[in-house]
Amino acid sequence: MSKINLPSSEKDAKAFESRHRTSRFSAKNIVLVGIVLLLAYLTVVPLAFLVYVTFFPDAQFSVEGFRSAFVDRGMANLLASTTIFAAGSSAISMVVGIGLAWYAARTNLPFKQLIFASALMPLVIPALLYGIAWVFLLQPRAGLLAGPINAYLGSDAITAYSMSAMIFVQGLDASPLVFLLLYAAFQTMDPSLEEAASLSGASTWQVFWRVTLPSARPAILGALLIVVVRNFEAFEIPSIMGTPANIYVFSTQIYRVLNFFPPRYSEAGGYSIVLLVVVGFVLFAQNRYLAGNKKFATVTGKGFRSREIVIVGNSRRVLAGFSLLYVLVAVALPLAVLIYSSLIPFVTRPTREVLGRMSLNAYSTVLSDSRISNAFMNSIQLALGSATLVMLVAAIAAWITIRSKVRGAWLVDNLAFVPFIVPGIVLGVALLFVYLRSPVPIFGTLWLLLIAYVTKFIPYGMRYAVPSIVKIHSELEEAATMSGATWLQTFRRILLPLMMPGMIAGWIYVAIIALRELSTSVLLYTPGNDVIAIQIFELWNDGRTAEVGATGVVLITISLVLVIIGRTIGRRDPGRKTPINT
Amino acid sequence: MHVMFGTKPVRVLSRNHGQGEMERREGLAEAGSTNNKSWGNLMNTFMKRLLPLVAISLFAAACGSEEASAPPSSEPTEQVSPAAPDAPSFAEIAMSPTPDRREQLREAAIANNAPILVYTTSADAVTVAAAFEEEYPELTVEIFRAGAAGTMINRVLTEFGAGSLRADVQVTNDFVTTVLSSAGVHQPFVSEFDAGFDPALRATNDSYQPNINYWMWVYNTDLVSEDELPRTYDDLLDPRWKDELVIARMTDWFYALWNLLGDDRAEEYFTRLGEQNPLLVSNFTEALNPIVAGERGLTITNVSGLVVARQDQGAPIKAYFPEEPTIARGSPIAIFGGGNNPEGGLLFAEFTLDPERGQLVLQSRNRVLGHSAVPPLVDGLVPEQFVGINFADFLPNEDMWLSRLQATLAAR
Repeated sequence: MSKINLPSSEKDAKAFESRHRTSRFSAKNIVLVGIVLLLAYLTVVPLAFLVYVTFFPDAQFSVEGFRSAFVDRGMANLLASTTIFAAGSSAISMVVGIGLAWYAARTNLPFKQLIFASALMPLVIPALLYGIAWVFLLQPRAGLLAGPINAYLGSDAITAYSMSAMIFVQGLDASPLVFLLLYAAFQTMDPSLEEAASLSGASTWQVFWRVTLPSARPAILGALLIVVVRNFEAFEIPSIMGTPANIYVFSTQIYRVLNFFPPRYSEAGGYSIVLLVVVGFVLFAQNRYLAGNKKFATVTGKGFRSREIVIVGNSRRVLAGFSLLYVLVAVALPLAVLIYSSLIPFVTRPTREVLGRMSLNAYSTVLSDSRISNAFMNSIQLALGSATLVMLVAAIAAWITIRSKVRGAWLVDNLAFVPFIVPGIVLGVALLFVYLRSPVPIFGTLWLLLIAYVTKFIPYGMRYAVPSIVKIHSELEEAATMSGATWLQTFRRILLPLMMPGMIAGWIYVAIIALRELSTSVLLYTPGNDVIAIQIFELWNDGRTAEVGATGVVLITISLVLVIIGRTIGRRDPGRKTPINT
Repeated sequence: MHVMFGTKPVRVLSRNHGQGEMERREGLAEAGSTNNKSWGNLMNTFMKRLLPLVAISLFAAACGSEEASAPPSSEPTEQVSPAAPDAPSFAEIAMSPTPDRREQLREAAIANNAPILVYTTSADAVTVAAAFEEEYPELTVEIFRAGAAGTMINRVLTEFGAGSLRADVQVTNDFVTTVLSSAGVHQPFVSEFDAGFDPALRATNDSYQPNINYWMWVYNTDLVSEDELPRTYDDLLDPRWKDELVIARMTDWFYALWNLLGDDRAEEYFTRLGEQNPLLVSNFTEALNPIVAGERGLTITNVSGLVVARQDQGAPIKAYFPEEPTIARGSPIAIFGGGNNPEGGLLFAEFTLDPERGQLVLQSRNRVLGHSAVPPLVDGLVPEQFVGINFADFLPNEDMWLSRLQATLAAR
């Protein structure tokens, strides 16, 4: 902590006042305006493109795209199936994510490290591979899991090609998003509230339900918002598991209309803009609620140590049992299928003959393919670069949204949310359209992909940064300011370290989804600049399932290394010396 | 063989029978000009009207190149040879398959000092490119794999609209080729091996078919015995095939089969086929996986390269053709003319079509070759009868065909 310099004389007071007088060209304003302009630049391009192609499909104003999207294509059915899918999967994501985060961050239960790693696995396994693994498990007859059960039951009751299976798998796939947000929130929670409740005679369940959860409400609201939207726009799992059974959702419908010729941008835009308006309204309401509410600020000037909740007896056994069941179902089974698929030429039941054909050939093919190794290198660079940039920009943008007194600051959050709503392929076309005409020769380089990734992942960064700021009581900033610190010093030495658990969680999340990114990259990459998701997609299209599995296993390993790097950096950060991490 | 089904004439073709032009090419120019206009209008007006609005922001700074925002030409870009001022243009070279052209192209391609850019949706081009680089070690081929047809179309037309099309060659399917040809993106060319390629099989006048995909029926030999195999489209409606079928949901295949069956019969047929509860997957790979795994017994939508590769790996599957015509869709190659290395692009196309070079590479991948002198390596990959897909008729009505597919085959 820097030395406290309280103004001791009139001269000092004048100097203090002069230092903190709001100047139009202060470092603070330059940084804030710079971030707003950067955000505006990153989001205006796709938004302008989206609005234009939606309302001016033939160079004249028209709402034909909306009509076509919402009338011709049976909007009621589509909306119903998407709502059921998003609501169901989000419920699963929230229950699993919150439960595991609480388990790993707040309790003294066993296997916490295993649970932390397992909770991230559905994120680390790309959704395409996670979906494929679950199809291999849940095919009604040949499925490695469903096959024997259905044969025993004498029916085809368990099937991968159903709404319930889609909801289940998507719910698990998106749960790390909730887990990371809530893990960070629970880590920085002042335990005195829980202790007070315990001392007043509340049971473990009552403490969790009436104290822990309500005090993490900003993170829970943020997680709920982003996970619902994420599940609304999820593509891979509905595509692999839903379309064979004629179950369509928004995302698969958008993909379909964008594959017409000419691509139906106006229709895709129609779906996206409706989503944008709904999310914009919810964000506005959420920020109004959080900005005016200091009761969620559990990190105050009062020092505290984060302590575990001690759970003993039957509760301990039951909770540990549930957590191991999660590890088995959500992680071990799909991962085992993925590894199995990488060892055999095609996936079928593991008979003696099939097992006899097992080999590591796919790994040697993948590791000796220069295009694949080059793609891995590109993806790693993009993951590290985009995660770092996104979290830095998001941290400042979140401060503007929550702390600054500027009117319309909530718009910054909305602005930062825009790319989330723009379909990946539309974002790709918009950036391609602009940067092919750019005087800066950026097309054909990794920089264009970096811009695309930062644009696309800013919304995720914001959802991690906003609750991290909300949790920090403004009295800490006020104290720093009164002690003579400039805004930049306060931000760098007080806020950032205190936000670090959330920032690291966000960094890990963004780095890993950057490793998986496909829909925008596929439009923007040039030979030599391809990324690993494209290689996996190509291998899958070519029917090379063993190579898909092998590449997936290598990718998962790299992702886990990134997680470890993230956590290590988090621990080494100066934030460690702050009360929350001691 | 010329058959009338319903009110639409469907020309059923046999390999090497020389039946003349396929119906699919009729009306192509008309459909194409509409599509091109729509795309061009959208892009140009976006630039003209919206740019001033966002000029206040930094967006304008990134879009400010006047030269680059010139409206796209509907004519293929002509590449002028860097040699003498009166030397023939690239367009003229492309149309004149002289005996020494390949050598001229090689020299020009080396002089261009740039990699040859191939845009493709197929893995075949990657293998052909490796063989090409072996033949011409002084040249480099770079591949852009687009994955989906829509991605390929979006990428090429956006580059073209910006006046900076980088690709030299495309190797994709009839659908994409027809769209891009109608947008005026291709550079027409005449191959030195023109005589070996049946003109009736060409998707467009500015492309060739290095290989053709014939939709095969593939079954799992552990689940289905040979004597119970369905032989006609009607046989698929037998209760034996309920919950046993896998179909790749491709609207162009649906359209072609609908026309083959005829309007009067098709609606009821597809409705009943849908009642058989088929798995409707996205592509050939996803159609074959459940058959290989033993989840389902039969798929009626697959292609030779994938099937033979799986058989070689020991999968319990066999393929055959129905007694009625099957559907065919090619994998055309075309050149762009104004890209990274146009001469290299044409040289690559010639290599692919060469019966002693690229065609042999494709043969080794169990493709059915476009060149009449190169038979497939494996017997039984060529059907007795087939129909192509009339993309000029299909594309403008794609929406309607999708609705029909949803209302019949996918109605359950």
